[in-house]
Amino acid sequence: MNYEPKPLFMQRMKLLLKDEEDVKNFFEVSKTKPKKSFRVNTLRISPNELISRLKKYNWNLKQIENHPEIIQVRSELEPGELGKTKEHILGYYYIQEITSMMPILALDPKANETLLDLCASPGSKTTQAAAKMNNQGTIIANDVSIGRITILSSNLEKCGITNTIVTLHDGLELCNRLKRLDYKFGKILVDAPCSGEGNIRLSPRTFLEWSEGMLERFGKKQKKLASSALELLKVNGEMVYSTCTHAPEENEEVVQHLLDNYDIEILPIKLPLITRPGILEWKGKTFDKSMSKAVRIYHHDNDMEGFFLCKIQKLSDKKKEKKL
Amino acid sequence: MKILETKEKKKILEQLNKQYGISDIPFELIKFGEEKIRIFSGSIEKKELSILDKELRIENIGLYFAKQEVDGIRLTFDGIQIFKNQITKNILELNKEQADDWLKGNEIQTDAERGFKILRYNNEFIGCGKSTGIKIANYMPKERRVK
Repeated sequence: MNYEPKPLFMQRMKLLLKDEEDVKNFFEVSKTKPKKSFRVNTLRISPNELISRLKKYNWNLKQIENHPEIIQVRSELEPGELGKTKEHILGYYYIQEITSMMPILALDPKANETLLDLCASPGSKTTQAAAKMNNQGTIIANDVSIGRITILSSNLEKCGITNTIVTLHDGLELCNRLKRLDYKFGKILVDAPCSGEGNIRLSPRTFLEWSEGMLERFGKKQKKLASSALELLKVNGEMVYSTCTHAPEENEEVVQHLLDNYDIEILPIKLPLITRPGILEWKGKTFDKSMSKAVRIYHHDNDMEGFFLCKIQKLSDKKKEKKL
Repeated sequence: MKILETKEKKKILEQLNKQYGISDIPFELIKFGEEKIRIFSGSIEKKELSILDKELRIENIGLYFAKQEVDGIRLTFDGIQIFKNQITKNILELNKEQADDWLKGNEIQTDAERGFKILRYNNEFIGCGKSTGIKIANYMPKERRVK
């Protein structure tokens, strides 16, 4: 079925993008499907060894510069082809959209760190983090729905993840419980549930469900979730806040809320994709100038999906006085 | 969730050594229910883990790697991958046809001696099954089978 964007969505994107040409490209690319991609599960095989094994399928594979484990498939594939191979069954690679790999590249978790992945299902980022940590340290991977936990657990098993504790809680409730225990993390990922504007190439149905009210509702939830998570971060610890949407209500406004209430700073992020800086103004609201270190990823810049990321460092446990 | 004590872990390791030649488990062993054994490589202390278990709803921890059955320990598909460099006993070599069948979730006809076998094809471990002397029943999880 063909879904069309609502006029209000188009109007908002015009405000976010550079010029008419940019807007035209955005909507043209939104009608096409992104290239398939996967991540080599380095816990089980090296990128070179896997590429050599995959030669028999005659796929045109391109590794991302400086990240040999990230691979884009440039050939046209049959539906489900990538998931049918013996190498996939053996957990040698994980099918994942490249932009969705960016939060963990930004967070850069290390072996022996403790990481909280607050909204973890289906586990793409948890498995990527565990691989980067070489199954050392500890990850708490949480999700709110039992159905999604089942998918998360299955993906962790497939990838051979041994350093992760999977919990079933509403994100806010988990944060409250951990806060009572005074349990703190060196790294936190809040890949927040969102309106999904960045996923329209794969889920064009988003156009149908989209409304401005939905953005406000998500924004409120995201502020609470990100704030609760931030309270669990150690001083000097780092948190990545990310969404797969473009709406500033769910992105810059959430980060600004954190800047207004906590002693934090935004850190620069270097990613192997074309990115644009976070915006400094939206509908009369202005954001801190450091918001330009946040990262916007648009699908037409990279022929991938859209994303927003911001990396935050906690400077102290102090809370700022509420602004009147 | 029950974190196994050194004595219990030692007993399991002895059994794994007898069956498969595994001589080292550099992880915590955790039991979920009576039969399922999981391995956890996380860095947090046992005491801390017990506190989290009391305060949080933990659905899973680490990796489900083995099931204790009446007549021995059966390794899971993912458990085998973790210990593949240590497995030396009870390996059954499959031919291509048998390996394809196994990965599709079918049982394999074989006259291999009774007991648990680690199945290998082309230098790759592809599962663990129990030989009846006539066939090996397939334990490959449905979602992992080749369609």
